[in-house]
Amino acid sequence: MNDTEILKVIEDLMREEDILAAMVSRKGFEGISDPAKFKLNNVQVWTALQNTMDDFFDIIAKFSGTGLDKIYFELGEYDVLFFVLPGRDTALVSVIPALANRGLLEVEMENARRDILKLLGD
Amino acid sequence: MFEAAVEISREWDAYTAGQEVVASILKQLNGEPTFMLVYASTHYKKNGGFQKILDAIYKKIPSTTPITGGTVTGFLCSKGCFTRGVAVFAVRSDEIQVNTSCAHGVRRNPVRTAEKCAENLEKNVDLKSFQNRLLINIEPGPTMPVVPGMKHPLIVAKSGILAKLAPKLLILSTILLNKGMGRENELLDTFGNRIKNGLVVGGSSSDDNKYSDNYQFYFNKVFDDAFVVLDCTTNLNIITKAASAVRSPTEWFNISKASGLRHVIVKIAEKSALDIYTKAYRLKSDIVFEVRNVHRCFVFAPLVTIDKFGVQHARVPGTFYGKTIGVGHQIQTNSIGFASTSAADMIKTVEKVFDEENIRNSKSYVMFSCAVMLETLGDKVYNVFEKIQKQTNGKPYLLVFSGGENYRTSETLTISTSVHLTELSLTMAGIG
Repeated sequence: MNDTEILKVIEDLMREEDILAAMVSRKGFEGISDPAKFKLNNVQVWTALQNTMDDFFDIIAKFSGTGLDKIYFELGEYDVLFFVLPGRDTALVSVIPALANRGLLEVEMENARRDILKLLGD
Repeated sequence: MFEAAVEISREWDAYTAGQEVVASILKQLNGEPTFMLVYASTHYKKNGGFQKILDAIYKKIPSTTPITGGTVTGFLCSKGCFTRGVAVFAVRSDEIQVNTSCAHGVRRNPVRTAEKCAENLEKNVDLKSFQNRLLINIEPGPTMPVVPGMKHPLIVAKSGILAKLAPKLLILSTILLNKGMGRENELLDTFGNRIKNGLVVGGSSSDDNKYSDNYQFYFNKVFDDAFVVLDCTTNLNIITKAASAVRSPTEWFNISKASGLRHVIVKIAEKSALDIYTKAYRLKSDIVFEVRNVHRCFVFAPLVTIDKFGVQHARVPGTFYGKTIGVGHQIQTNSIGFASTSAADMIKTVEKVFDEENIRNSKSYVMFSCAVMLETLGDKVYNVFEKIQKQTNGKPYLLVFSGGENYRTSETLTISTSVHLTELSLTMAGIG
């Protein structure tokens, strides 16, 4: 992976007011992110996510033949958006406020996913 | 000669974004543009960003070149779909005569504003030399006033004094503070009556669907209360078309009480509007007070009203104050029904607007669609993108996601002069 270029995509996404944290995560590897720029008040949410990330990839792998490309879940005040990079054990993950306009953020998440796929040579 | 060009910039810096789009537009066209439509996301609001975008563009083009546009929720072109950035649609043609008009005070007095704007245009239009006319407009969309002490705009108020006062406060805020309803119906009705000839396409300015504020651009000026119209007369081909994403209701009811300048439905068939609404969709009567993100939840269950010309319009519930339902656009007649839509229906609107050969033959396209559609589709908007890419076949196009869209087609011209204000629709002008 071209980590520096991918980090630029993440940093661009993080400039959106309602993207509180974002990371490109790959099974068994440390994610690409810039925690210094996170706007999450509740750091526990992110820590829990990081600790369970590999478990998510196990689930994704089980659905790989069914076209799974996104997972959402709601954690009280936050929503977590998990955009899978097709055909890879990699995902773009972000945390947004529960009451944010999720659809508009999804558009920019999709653009970031497309940019990352280009950087990965897909 | 006719050339059209579309460009976007994703630069965060407003001035750089303006520089980027104008440089690319000038590169694509073989000379200076005849007019430019400029749309920006709300991200540039801080530090006079919208002004900087326009300043950067005008540094490279004559100050007499008309620019109209404003803030929008997002846009889609051959490069993709974006909710942040600047988008430009530019035309260069010696076969188009352009007039412009701008009038202020839409929220305070929409009728007078429309009259002023129409008067300016009718004074200068040359309908003897040109057969076709297209009026591309932008006007202020709804904003939600924030009650002092509250963090978020007042969208839902279950009971008590706040629910009773909210519709009245909304009127006062709209008229006195320029914060509140868009008043597009009153504006466009008057405008349609005064402008007897010409097709119309446009939309309301918007922000990132937080309904905080929105702006209009007119040449190098930025306004928050202006009706801005670009009037093109030409002998080139011009066509407009609209397609709704909403299925027609099977049953109709009577609105027995409305308030808030007919933006708030209080009673339907003498019963509380909310009770009738929730019953129609078999929902729990209190559900609107329990769910998160009300707008996104109820977009699939729109109200349908009928305008005075008999045309049906979907209205997405915007506020729930007590047992009332508020909508962004004015209710014109007392007929109301309950319909349904889906993301698939929204995506199908693309096929519906492109289903005529003369539309597919146009050389360029400007389209407007409801920002609620973008919010609802989310990343699935790329399904719309793929369909439009196929239909436009490499020709320049720009789809703007605005706070509601409006149109007048040649068909409606023959029966009325109405400009139809819609939600959950895709409206389109094919030019050239």
